[in-house]
Amino acid sequence: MSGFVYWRDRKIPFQAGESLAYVLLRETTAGCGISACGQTYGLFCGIGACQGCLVDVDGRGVVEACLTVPHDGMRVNPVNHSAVNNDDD
Amino acid sequence: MTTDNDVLVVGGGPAGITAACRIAEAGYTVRLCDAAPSLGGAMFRGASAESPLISTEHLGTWRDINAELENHAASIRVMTSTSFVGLDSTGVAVLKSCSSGEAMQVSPRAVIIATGAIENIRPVPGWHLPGVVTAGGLQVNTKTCRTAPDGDIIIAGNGPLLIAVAAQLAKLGHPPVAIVESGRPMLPRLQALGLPLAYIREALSYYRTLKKFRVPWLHGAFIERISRRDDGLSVAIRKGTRAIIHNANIVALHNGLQSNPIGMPVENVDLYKGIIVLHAGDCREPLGARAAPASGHHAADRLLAVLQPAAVKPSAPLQLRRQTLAQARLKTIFKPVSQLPLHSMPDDTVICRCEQKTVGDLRQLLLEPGASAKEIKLNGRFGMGRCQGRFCARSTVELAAELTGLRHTSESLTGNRWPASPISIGALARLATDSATTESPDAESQDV
Repeated sequence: MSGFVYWRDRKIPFQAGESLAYVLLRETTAGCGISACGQTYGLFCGIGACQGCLVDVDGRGVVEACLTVPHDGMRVNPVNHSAVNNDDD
Repeated sequence: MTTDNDVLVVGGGPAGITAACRIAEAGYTVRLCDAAPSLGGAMFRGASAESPLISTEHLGTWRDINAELENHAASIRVMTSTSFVGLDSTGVAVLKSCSSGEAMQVSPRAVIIATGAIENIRPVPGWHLPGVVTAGGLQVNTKTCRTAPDGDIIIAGNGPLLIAVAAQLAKLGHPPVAIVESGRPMLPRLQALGLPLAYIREALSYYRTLKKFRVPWLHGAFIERISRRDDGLSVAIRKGTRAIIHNANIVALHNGLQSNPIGMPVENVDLYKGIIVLHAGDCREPLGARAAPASGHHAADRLLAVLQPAAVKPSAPLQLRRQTLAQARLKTIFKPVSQLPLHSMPDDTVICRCEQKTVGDLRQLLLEPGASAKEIKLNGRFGMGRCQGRFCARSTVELAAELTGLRHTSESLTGNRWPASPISIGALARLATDSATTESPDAESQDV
């Protein structure tokens, strides 16, 4: 399946077989958000081990972009750390 | 709580699938889950006859594995996009849907962990910048979509994976601008002759592709610094006395593979000590795709020897021994000859990506002599972040040893507690109040 996702309301295309992290790597040179510790998020390990590509999908919550299959119309935003009650944030 | 399948296999690569098939063959039911949207693991993700990225040898292996899975489809329930969260002390395993985030619990008689290796990534100044990825992470993505990312790519670090990824990118019409290898793999040619024929054939095919696309393969070289430049990255490379600057959009790093036990239950084959747990494939010991099916088969045999002691006697398979030797030889061939010791890296070099802790931070922390691993973690916050130390524990203990002479183990820094993957408190709470529910909402039921 191919189509478009919305990264911060910007419409960006994806192709079949691409993970969300791969789409964002292509489209965002500045990464896809910043953690509370100052880590810039973006594709790194690609297998869900480094937790370095966290994004918010469809307002549903935080997911690893590298394990997420994009769907048409998906709304993707940087993680809003002030709204997340993680004990390390 | 689910009455459930007999055995839970975590990880649907060659080791996990082979283990599942062998267990199913012995008459048990299996639940096979994988965090990725499709089976195959890092090796066989996206593998098919149409893919230009898989060799005839590996495609043959993958076809055999799939045919077996097909044969046992009635007793193996496959759940993709499902990650393993952990196993509690009562033998209840928690799984999570990667798409909905919702949890489910299962109580199998045994668990086989076959989640694959993780990559060693040696820190370099600037490796925390966006656009710096792992070579394996890049590879897994290019395999599934069969396109290379735009822009200039540099592949750097150490080991045979560098040329594999470079050749695959070249085949997709997008060769990297350089490979920066810290070993001198062409020097010990005699060593190479001791490798199994399949390894030599594979290496030659990569080498031919790199020649054809004129990809520079720098030996005995390393990255001194990656810095931001306009819309991309600037990469300073050192090869002996020569300094080379390259611009790039993506830098892919890799320094070999390591086992991945963090957050996973430890092996237990004693029926009286709770649930049986076995590890198989690269997460147990990185021996590569050629060893993985044998390792999965061996784990299944060890499990069956417990479940049916009269019927099964596991023996150490010959294939595993051969691959162990071959991997050791590869390590010698690719032994790094030029890389900076961590303590000579600039103080601003990030060691722990999650917590953004640097070489300078650890130097400062260790001014006080005799710090324990626990102090390095709790006071220094090295290994405290979301990756649970998977990508910094090795470097942290290596740097600490360089600075103080005191050698801690990686495990003493990371510990080993579940969850192996994050789960929301909400999903756990719903699991607790909803314990009558036997299946996750988005899983179809075949066996209830």
